[in-house]
Amino acid sequence: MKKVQKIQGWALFIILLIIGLLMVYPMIWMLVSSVKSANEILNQPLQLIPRSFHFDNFTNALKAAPFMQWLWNSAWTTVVIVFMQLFFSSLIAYALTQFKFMGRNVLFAIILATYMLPSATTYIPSYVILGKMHLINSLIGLVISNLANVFVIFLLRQSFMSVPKGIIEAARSDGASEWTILWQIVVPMNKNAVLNATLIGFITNFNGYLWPSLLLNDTKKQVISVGLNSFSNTQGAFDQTFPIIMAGTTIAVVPLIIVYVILQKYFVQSSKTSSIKG
Amino acid sequence: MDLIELKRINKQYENKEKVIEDFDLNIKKGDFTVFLGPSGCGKSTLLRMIAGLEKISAGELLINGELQNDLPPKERNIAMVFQNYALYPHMSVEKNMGFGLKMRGIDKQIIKQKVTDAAKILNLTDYLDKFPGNLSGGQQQRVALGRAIVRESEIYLMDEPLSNLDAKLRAVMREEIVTLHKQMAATTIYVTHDQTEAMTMADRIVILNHGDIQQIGTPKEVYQRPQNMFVASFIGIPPMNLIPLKNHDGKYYLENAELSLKDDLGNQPLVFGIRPEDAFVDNAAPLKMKVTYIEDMGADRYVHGLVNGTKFTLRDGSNNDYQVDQEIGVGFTAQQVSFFDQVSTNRVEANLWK
Ligand SMILES: Nc1ncnc2c1ncn2[C@@H]1O[C@H](COP(=O)(O)OP(=O)(O)OP(=O)(O)O)[C@@H](O)[C@H]1O
Ligand SMILES: [Mg+2]
Repeated sequence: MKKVQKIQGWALFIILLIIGLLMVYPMIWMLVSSVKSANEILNQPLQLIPRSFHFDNFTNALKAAPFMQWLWNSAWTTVVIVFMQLFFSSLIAYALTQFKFMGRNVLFAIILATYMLPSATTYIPSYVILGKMHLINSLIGLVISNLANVFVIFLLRQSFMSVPKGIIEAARSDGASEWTILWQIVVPMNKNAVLNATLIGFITNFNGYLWPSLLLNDTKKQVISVGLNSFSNTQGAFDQTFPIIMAGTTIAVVPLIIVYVILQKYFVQSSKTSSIKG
Repeated sequence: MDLIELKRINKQYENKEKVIEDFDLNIKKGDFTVFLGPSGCGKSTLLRMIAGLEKISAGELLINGELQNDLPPKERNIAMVFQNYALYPHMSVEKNMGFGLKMRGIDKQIIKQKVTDAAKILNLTDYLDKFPGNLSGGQQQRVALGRAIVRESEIYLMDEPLSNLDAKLRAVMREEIVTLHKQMAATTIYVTHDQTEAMTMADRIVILNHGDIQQIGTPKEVYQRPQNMFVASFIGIPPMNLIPLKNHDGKYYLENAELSLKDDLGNQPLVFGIRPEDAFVDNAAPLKMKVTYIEDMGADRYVHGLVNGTKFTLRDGSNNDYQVDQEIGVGFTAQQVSFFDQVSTNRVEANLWK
């Protein structure tokens, strides 16, 4: 019995390892290519360690397009959007879980129903509304059109439901206002869900492509995902510009990796402490 | 004027029958009042209405003569200890205890001082940095108490605060709470379904059943003069023996023996009540009991049996042996008997001639 289990364990490990490698392969290819010369990139078989390191790919990329501007645009809009989404979603989730009011379930059903809607169907109405607000081709417009996020509401609502009623009541009789209870009791108690929402929100918004590409026209106002695409489109002769494109792509991905690594550490931490605290 | 006045309080949960109906009660400043009653009788509901956590459907709640019905909990000077502790899991013991003061904008230094003092009283000094999840049930319970006492409120509400503790710890905590109450002289309402807690802690017991007050009185009063058969059978371990009396030609019979009452009650149908400790073995007595089992508690020994099919228990101080199915005679102290109306179940004031 023991032996069979061990073999099964190893088999599983190897399968997972292969799948994992397959998944990170494009990423590795990108990282490696970003420091190779144009000729070496297309050499077969692929070499993991470049013969010579061409870090000037990065400076060339930065010269060829306003990557830093795009990164900055993506970064601040993403941070503001994620922050606002968490803020508003916490408020709604708190009301949905802690207050009794007429039509509470109907409200939640409507919110969920909008989640079923393909996001593409909202582009035209959103575009028209933003147009009326004179926020087309504006990063503020991008932020405003992303203030609410049904998924985050849903995630927080489900998590907030697990807070025992007694704790809310204890806080109320301790003299805390609903505002204080939300931010000092409920949100810290649901740290994992909030971090989850942060991570997912960060990745979704940083990688968001279609909507920003419709909304933003000026080169200076692009977000990194859209900018990167137009950059690779305008570079023409592919094989010679591959290194620069790969360097640009790497620049675009690095912030995501940093965020992921930071939040991952929190994940591990919070699950550790919560298990100790029972 | 009493500190807390409940006037014709009603409570109805959403589309459900009334849990509390026309409830009237006054509570004096400084009293330790215990709400005692079986599970589901509405004790927590009452307490939560006083705390402001539950809406009062109808009626008035006055504290210091001021109407409280629409005041949110934070505007009532009330500290509450919850049935299941309800500690904040993400805060240390110190933060938990200080939270109520922090919410009231008290200076940090003063909060620290008060929390330290309370921790000393409750033996929690070594645990101030710990989180609730790392504490035993008894420690969590004390944190919950500490959170209430640092508030130094006018009124303390405690909802079965000892229900999750083992018997020994419960006895210790009972004493601690009573001592604390004496020190602080704060008005306390304590909810329990454990009559030992009620008897040992209360200045006044309010016995509830189905949301109605059955009796209000000191522990001694409710024990010695139960106002109805519910109280008689609810208070006392084991409870009072109750045997319906027979009635022929204006005379009352306890089984075969005639009872001579001082008072003329006409033909009112009566139930006879006697506490196990006021009954004894007396083989000359006309009342006979068939022994079913003996319960030896160490200090006390109870003989359980059947009197003509009705359960009967007496406390026996002798060292005699009794066999199961043995028939023994039962005597009782005439001054200690109680009578109840068979129909209304209310107490009937009547006495026996010796
Ligand atoms: N939120 C609620 N909604 C509907 N009914 C409720 C609610 N809370 C309590 N009840 C009902 O009200 C009645 C009284 O409940 P309550 O919690 O006050 O009893 P209790 O005396 O505190 O009981 P226990 O000793 O078990 O704590 C019960 O029949 C219960 O089912
Ligand atoms: Mg209760």
